[in-house]
Amino acid sequence: MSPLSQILLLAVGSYFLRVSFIALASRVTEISPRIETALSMIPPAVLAAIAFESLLFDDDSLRGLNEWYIALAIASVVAYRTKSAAWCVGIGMPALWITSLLI
Amino acid sequence: MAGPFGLVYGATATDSGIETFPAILASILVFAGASQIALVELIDDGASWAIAIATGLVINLRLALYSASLAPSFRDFPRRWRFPLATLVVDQTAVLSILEFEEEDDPEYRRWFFLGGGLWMITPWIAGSVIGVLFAGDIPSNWQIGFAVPLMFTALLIPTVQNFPKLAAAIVGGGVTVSTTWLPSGSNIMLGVACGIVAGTLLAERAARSAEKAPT
Repeated sequence: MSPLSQILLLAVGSYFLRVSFIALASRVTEISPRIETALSMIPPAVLAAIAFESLLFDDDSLRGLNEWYIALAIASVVAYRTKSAAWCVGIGMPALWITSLLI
Repeated sequence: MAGPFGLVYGATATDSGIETFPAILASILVFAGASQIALVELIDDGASWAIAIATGLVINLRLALYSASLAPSFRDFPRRWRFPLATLVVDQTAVLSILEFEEEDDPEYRRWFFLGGGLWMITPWIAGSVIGVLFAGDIPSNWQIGFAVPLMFTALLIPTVQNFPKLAAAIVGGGVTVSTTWLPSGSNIMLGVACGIVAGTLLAERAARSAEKAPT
């Protein structure tokens, strides 16, 4: 199958995932407190899973200790203090470049 | 931040031998970076189309979880808004909207907020992808643009960790994911997420029960 067809199938499948519960929502009127609590846990669990994996692994091998960890620690402190994703990213990339120069 | 992330995807797609048109079309139609990177790398590795697409969809299963989180707010939107807006459900728009919707409950404000956030994300994402695809070989390696991936997900993660159960959901979710990388590609993320959700939910329910018992 051509790369274009694979991309189109992934696009259609991804739209179904995106619209799934939104399309069903008009029929669901009550959400139990337990489901609501579980839903609120989705963002931290998913984001940490992807962040941890992309930090620790370079393709399939473990990433050695390098400037990525220092720069990410600096960016995390900024995110925690400012509560802002934009600041975290704005500081993170320059922090990496400066740390790379120093190490 | 979607710009540098798009750059990473675009450069990976070109390095994987994907032609310009399908590589850019993916950013417009799929609009989910981690799954796009996995798909083009698997195509390059010569994986079967079924495995390549299935892996992309497993990575994107979290979009269904976001769909569930957003559904109660989207229920108040007209249909002509609900279905097109669903195309813009990604990590950033979902997480930021869920936080914003806790403060603002006017449906009209909410749908415009979501549309604005979505366009704010998809525009630099597509622009970054185009630049990455066209100039893959010219990006200096000492820019280390690959760092954009953990940086962006950390930037989104930290504001969502507002209490101990959510911190536990993050640590269990991330910990299980990185300790089960021997599982088939992508499924370790789903396992980690499932464990994180269960851990966070149980701790939150326990905290709620002990708060009820505590003398006032």
